[in-house]
Amino acid sequence: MATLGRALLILAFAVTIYAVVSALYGGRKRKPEWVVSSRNAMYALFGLLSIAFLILEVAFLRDDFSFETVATHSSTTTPILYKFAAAWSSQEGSLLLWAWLLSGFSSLVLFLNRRRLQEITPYATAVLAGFGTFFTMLLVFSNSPFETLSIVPPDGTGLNPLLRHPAMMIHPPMLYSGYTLFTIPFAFAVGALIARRVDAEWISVTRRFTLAAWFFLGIGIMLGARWSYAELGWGGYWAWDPVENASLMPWLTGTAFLHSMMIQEKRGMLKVWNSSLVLATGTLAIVGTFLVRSGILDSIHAFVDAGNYVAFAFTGLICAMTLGSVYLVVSRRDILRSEHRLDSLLSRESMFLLNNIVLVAMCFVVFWGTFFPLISEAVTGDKAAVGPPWFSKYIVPLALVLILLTGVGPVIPWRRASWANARRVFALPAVVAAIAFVVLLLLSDAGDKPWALGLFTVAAFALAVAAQEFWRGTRARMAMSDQHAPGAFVSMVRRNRRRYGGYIIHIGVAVLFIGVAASSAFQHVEDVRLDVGEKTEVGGYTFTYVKPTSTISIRDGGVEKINFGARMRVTKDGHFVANLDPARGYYPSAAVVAFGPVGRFFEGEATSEVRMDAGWTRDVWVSLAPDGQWINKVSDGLDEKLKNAPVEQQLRAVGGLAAFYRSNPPAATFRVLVSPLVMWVWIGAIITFLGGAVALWPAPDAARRRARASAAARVAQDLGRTKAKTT
Amino acid sequence: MDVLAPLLIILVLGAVVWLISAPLRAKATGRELPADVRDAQRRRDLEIERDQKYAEIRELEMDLRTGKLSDADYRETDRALRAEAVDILHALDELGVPTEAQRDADAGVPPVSDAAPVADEPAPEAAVAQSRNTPDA
Repeated sequence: MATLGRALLILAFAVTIYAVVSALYGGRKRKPEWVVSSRNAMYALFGLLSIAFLILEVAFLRDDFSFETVATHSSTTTPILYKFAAAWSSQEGSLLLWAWLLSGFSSLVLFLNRRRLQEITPYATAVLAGFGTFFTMLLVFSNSPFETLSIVPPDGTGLNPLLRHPAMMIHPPMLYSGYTLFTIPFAFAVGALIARRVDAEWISVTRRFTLAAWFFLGIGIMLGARWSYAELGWGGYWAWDPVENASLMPWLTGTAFLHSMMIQEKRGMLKVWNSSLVLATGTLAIVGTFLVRSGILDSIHAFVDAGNYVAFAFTGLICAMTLGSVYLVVSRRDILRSEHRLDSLLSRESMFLLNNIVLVAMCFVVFWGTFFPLISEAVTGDKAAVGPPWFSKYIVPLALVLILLTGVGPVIPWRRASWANARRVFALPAVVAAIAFVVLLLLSDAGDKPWALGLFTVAAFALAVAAQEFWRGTRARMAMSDQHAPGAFVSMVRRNRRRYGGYIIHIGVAVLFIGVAASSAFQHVEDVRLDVGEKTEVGGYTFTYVKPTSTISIRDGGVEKINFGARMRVTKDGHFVANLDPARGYYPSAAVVAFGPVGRFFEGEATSEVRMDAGWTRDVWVSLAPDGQWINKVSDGLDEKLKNAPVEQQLRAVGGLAAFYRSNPPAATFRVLVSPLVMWVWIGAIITFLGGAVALWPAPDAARRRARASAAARVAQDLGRTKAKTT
Repeated sequence: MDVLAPLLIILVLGAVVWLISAPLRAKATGRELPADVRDAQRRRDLEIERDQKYAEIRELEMDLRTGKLSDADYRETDRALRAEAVDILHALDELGVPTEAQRDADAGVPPVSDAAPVADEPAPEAAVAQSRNTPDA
């Protein structure tokens, strides 16, 4: 099947080249049959890559170790769901996933718009096919998932233990869906600029895909944060790591675009800005893929070292996208002029513009901080990096303004608002915010953290605005129909999905930032070395190291890993809170000769088995690092004794080592955290994406027709009057 | 497998070539892009702008009913929006009745954009009157 897989990739590469050429030829020469042929080529690409991906998945599920990527990323003992996910744990598998998703989404958008945007579609097809060419080129010439081994090993090396987490099955596909979906508005923006058709339709066509990209990328980001918090032993959900930042940048500019596109839809303004934003977002999506797949920046998420070819190819693509985007926007500035000007500074347009500036500023901060190591290396020769405090210094004030705007924007009408009305609609939310401020200042220690206090206050304001909007909307709906409040509420949301989906997102974002502000500003964290029986106090909780634990995981007759752990008893004011059992899992290295029969267990991958007691108001979180010196000393001694012993004896010695750890435990180092309101980070994220789903869900045609009927009738009356005048 | 793989490859290659070449083979009976494709595109843009303008008018009503606008501001903005909508309808009129080819080109396209609809009760002038009766409008 590897031969078939390789042939499919070569064919896919040829098909993408054909699609680029035929789309451009059809577009330039106005020959629709060539445009349709290029579209069919994209459908064919999807079919080819689907079969290729299926072949790879089957190889993983069947433990076909003749495939090099299967042998190096899976094993017979890998659980079946992780075998399925292992396909995209490798460089070549993830590139194939990227190309497959790209071909699927491209086919979908081209199919849905097969009778629309006839001038733009050929160029958009060429751009999408161009991305396809790039990724299939990498798959054919550099990173083929269908490379085979001349000597087939009896077993594989297995999936990296750090990747053995349920999120592995959904986190990468979500991120990649987001990245690939962002290439669609990019492609249509390029098409619109080339064809000089920058009117309403391309925005309308790509809006839903942009929202879908934002939705999937956002879910991917939050799943990654949750994974990091629950699996990695450092104790946080966001480390400003380059790979994390890579996904955040297009999400921020995509969020900005989703707001500013409304200004273009309604007022014909900000065309240069919107074109630039969508082109930048598409480029940043490729930058994100590059950072994940190249390993060019040091990252806790860097599981690959791509080599020069991939890095060089991505750099070339990013340069081409950047320069091409700048050229297109500059050369088309004559058709990108705004049709209107801002009527008033107190208008929703102004608020959206301000929101865009804040989001783009955040993106710039993230970009600068992420690439600072490369910039500093280029300038000074030293690869210096900036840490979380640097990011917080700039991001926190910007986030505060953003949340404030989240509250202000929805209640300011388009075009202009009067101060009298503004005062009226802001009165209640301002009172709520003031009460929140005073209560927090007087009854908590929030006064010690002014930025956090500010964030809580503006979040309270934003939540009050959203609640007020839902209440007033429901009441208006009740006045217009005979429905009771719940029915009116559901009906209102159903008929105004975009508006109220947006408000739900605002609620989610405000809740999320409350969680972020509380858990980062008021977190208590301590790294402490304890012997059995010793205790420590953190954040008002007492942590007692009750006893050591150790287990050996056996899978298919072999030792999968050794766990050294601890029982930690948590109490507060003498009352029992929880027993937590953190551990460190050691997976054996295959290099028995180099590291010894016992030592090899401590030279392979190791994972933190974090344990926490999560609650509505706080999380108590513990990770453990056993004494490395003790482990080395004991394992070295055993290796010396057992180097010529039979395998069974060596395995018994491993069991003996686990028992020895329990009976003669060394001191262990614990990281202990007490973080308030972390749960609300996840709840906020769920609310946010629920709002995204509401906004994404299409309104029924009947509702659309009803919605426009009244306005159409009124305008028709006006039209009749003007026609009567002219005749 | 040695025989099967080349056979499958040939089969897939044939299917791809068949799919991609279908529009080229059908060219003799296929349709051309309408000569006045720019007009068709312009019509689509105007129709979308028209639908968005209708949505704006409805949103404005909603803003009035939820107390974001005074009556005076509502009337002024509503008048401006309706004037803009009339301009768009005039522009559509100027493009004339769509030709058969343009209708073909637009076949299968939903008649309205996916711009957000607002509430469904029309209440043209009654929106203002009704809002006056609500406590905070």
